[in-house]
Amino acid sequence: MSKPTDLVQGTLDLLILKILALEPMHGWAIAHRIHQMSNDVLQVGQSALYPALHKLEQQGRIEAEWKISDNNRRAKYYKLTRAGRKAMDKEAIQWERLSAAISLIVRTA
Amino acid sequence: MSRFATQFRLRLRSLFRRTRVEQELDEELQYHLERELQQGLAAGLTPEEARYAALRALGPITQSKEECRDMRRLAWIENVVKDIQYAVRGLGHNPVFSLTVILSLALGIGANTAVYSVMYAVLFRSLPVKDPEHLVQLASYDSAGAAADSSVSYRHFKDMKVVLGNDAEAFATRGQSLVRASLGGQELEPIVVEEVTANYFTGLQVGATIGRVLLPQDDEAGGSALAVISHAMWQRRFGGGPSAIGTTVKVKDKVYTIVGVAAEEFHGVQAHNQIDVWIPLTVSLPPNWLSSTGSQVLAVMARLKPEANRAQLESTADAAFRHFRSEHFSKEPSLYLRFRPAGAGLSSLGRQYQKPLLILMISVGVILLLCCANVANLLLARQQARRHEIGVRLSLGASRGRIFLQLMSEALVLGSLGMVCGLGLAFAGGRLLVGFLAEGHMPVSLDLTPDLQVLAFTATIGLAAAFSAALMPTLRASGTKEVEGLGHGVRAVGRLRFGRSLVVGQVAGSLSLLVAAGLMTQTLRNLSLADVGFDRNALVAFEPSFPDEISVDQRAAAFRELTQRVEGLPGVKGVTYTPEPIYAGGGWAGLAYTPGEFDPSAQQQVGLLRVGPHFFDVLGIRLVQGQVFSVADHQQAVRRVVINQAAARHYFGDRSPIGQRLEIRGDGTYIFEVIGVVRDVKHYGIRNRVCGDRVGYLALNNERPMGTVFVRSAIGPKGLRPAVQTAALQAGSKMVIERFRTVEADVNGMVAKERMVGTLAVVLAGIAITLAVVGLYGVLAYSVGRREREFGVRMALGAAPSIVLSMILREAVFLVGVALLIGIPGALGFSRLLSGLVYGVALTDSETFVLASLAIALIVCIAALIPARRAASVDPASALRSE
Repeated sequence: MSKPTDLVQGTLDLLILKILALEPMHGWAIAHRIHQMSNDVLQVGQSALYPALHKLEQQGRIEAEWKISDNNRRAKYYKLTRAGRKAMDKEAIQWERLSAAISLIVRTA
Repeated sequence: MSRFATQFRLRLRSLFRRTRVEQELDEELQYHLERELQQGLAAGLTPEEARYAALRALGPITQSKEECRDMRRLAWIENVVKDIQYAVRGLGHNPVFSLTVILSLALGIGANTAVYSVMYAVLFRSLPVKDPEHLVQLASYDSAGAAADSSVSYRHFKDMKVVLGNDAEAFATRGQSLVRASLGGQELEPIVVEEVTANYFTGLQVGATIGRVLLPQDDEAGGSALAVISHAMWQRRFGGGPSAIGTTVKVKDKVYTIVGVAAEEFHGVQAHNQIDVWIPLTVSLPPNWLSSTGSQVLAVMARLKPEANRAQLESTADAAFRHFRSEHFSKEPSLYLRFRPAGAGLSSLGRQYQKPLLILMISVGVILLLCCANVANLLLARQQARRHEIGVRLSLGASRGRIFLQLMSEALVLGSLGMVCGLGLAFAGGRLLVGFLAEGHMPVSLDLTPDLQVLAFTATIGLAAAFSAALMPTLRASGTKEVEGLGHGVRAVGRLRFGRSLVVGQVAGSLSLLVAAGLMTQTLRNLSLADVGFDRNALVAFEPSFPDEISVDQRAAAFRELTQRVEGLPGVKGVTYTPEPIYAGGGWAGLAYTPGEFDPSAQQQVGLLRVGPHFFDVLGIRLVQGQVFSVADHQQAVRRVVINQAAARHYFGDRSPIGQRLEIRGDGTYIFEVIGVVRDVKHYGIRNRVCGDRVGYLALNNERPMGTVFVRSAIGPKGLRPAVQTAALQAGSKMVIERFRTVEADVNGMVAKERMVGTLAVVLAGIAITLAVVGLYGVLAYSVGRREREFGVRMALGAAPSIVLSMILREAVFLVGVALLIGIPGALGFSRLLSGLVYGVALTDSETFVLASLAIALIVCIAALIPARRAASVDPASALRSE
């Protein structure tokens, strides 16, 4: 497995929110999905993932619930809240602008 | 709002259910690890390799757990800190607003804390002893249930001690007195001495700083002359050094050896006195006092054992008390005994001032409410001005709960600053208040350093005040509709109604205080003008005193010489003396009746005062019939009495009492001839009626002059004092003049309570009216501001400015009218509190109420003139043009 690329904390938050926008899931599934959807480029370790999840929970952007998971064990499922959805849209726009600006400079320089 | 609730719950959880939350985190991470493992195994790794890979991918578990914890904590604190920062910045941008709010709150909070701190120090603060809740006072009550004089004799105390047995340790004190003493041979300024039983300290459970306290065994050897000094005295006189132990102190006639210094916090059993020296009363009291039942000078307290049955003990003690009294005081009215909680010590001052302090507490409470009302109005205005900002934030996704919290935190920051300033005010105010407290001529010293309780009180009312003032405005602000905030919607109607109702409340409250001030001012005037029966102007009093070694004869001679010399001083119109208190109450009483007509059931008690030569003349007591004592009457023992009008009426009706006989039972029973009748004098204080006001005056023999000397002179006290002191020096026998004062000041001192309430009522009424006026001005100004266009239109259509003026004034009058409607019944209720304090004026004195109402109405109308004139001077053209 390749070395995990460094992700800025805020960007990780956006990724988590986007993933959860599709459906509620637990921490491991989120990390797995990120890995999948990024074509195996991004690997999120639990040391970055869970602090981010807890912060998002404190901020009220996601909600948590303990449910029985697909392997018949108890897991903590996270779900996007309305405020989280709003925040996600806002951040996504921000990210587009930011990355477009950076790409501009990186490509032309 | 539900999201806010979830968030709040989350925060609470991370605070209080920490272990649970940690466990959950563990579980979560464990699950993650397992899934990684599974994945590894599914990918074909061996179990060890899979585990190794999983752990490596996971990273250090403890560190991430720590980080999660931090995230939770950080987010919470982050929010709070952000709120406070934002609030402080916002307040800094509006210094006038912030200062006004802070000062208003400081005023209300400070006043309340000042009064409470005094109340606490005098009434509630526990003595610095172990388990003060087990201390009681053995207090007597009369058959009507009112508190009676609880002093008992030493014999009675010993009886009570035996009765209480092992279940309680009973100890007694004679109370404190200001005496001259000498320390190790050196003369001292007067110190405060308390005479106590030997088990006083063990009963209270007060220890010693150095040396030891008095112990019960000290009483056994016929009383050892030991003494304990206070910590303060130890620092003052011995610099806190060891030389205190063993030094002798001489009080009155006797010498005591200091054996120890009491614990630092202990000042005696009365909150407002600082005792310097404690001495055993078995040594200091005259021996016949210890053995007789008549010398009732001790207050008895007891420490109950925790396991004792209190009710049972109380009834046992009560039964024994009544038995003792029936044996020795059968002719006196019957009393019963109860345990009065004495954890705060004995406090005669406390009981005296309980009601006045309560009245003050309520008054400053009213002031605090008025302050809060003003603050609420100010906050409302400010939130209104930020409608735009709030609207924007709401539309950007902020929750109402968040906004509510943030606005609230602003209010709380203001409240905290107000509290801090208030504490400073309270300190000054408290000292001022203590200056009003007086108890005879004993110095009142109260330790007002803020106790934890007082600080807790301040914090509570401070937060409550800030919160309640901010509640309404903040609720309305966070309820702002987004649209309205972004536009220029006018939601002012609600604000005006709110502001108006506050002002009505403020004016009503001020009325109560103003009425109280009016009643008390009249009371004070009546008291100062009250006819006490003698002429208190241009009269001074003092007590000559001698060191112990001077014999009785020497004292008599010196006293006589002093009176002669003072008589000869220029400007002196007369000198007299008497050992009795002649306007403070106390003194003797006896039974008097026409010979042969002794009737125990009839009212035959009479006050008996022994007076020196020229007494009636010097004091200006008018003679009504017959004559007063001649000089000769004071030189031999004569059976002649001068009575007052009340006595004359009682015993002789319309007949002339001159030449009639009265049998008087005082020290013994003798028959006296009535030689004169004088006007009634209020010897027992201006308000008290004792013995039906009947007084008999007896001629004090010249051989043993003693007591207080009264001098009527044309020179003021400042000029007279040095002359009198010189005369004392010349009279010899090391005589010292003590307590040189004017009688006027003395008599005024007796109405200290009334003076305190009266002065403060006036001050508080003034503050209340100012606050109400400020509030009113704010509301009216806002109302005018809103209606500028309306006025512009009116005036453009031809209305005269005076019409507009009268419109505003009508609004003000309407507000006052409603306020008076509510306020007058309120004031009637409030004035009830003053019963017992007012003098010469009824609690429902219509004049006072009418004048107060008119005064308030007038002030309000004048205050309304400013916004009214502004309204009238609106330029119609520009008003119509503006939005």
